[in-house]
Amino acid sequence: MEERIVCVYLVLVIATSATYFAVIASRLRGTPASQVEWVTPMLWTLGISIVGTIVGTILATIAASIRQGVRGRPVDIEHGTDERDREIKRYGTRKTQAIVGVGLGGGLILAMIDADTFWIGNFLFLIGTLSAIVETNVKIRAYRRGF
Amino acid sequence: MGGQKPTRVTNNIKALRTARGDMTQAELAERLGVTRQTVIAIEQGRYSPSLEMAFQIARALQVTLDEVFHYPNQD
Repeated sequence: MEERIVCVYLVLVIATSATYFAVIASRLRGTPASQVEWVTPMLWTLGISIVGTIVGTILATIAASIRQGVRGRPVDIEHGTDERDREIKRYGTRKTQAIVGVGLGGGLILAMIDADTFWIGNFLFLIGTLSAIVETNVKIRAYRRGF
Repeated sequence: MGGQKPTRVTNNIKALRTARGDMTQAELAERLGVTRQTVIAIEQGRYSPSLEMAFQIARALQVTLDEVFHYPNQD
């Protein structure tokens, strides 16, 4: 179940973030950054990622159980987390510490030089997106190949 | 990683399950309180369980720890 959640989240993070950055990039053309409306699209992006992961995981679980039924196997839907899931979660978090560190440092520097909130918000969002992509990739690799 | 297993620890869980009257992975997982995927990962050497879980596996299979897990010599 945890692996399925991670896979769904990875797909959604890439899709929603790519859409967000495409929208923001198009708004930036010919408009000063300080006048670009980015808060609402970002909130939508975050909301869709969270709700989409929940709905997507439920749908993927239903699809997996149907697939098992079609193949004549007993339906075996696992839920909850165990020791391995928790270790993989810690492993994934550890692997993204450097990215989060760069994000914190970069955000502070942008604030110190009095950058527009557009750049601070979007830089932090970019870091969050990169961190999520790296973390989910590390976790999927750990689930499939070991760690 | 290039196909190399992440651990040098090997185990006999599959053979021991069979010896214990064809205990399924799901049954072993239930006894251990983990998912079947975790049992599969341990059997295939993709995950080294904690010492505590290793003892639980040995107990569930009614053997000693070193009958379940092996660690090869360096040379």
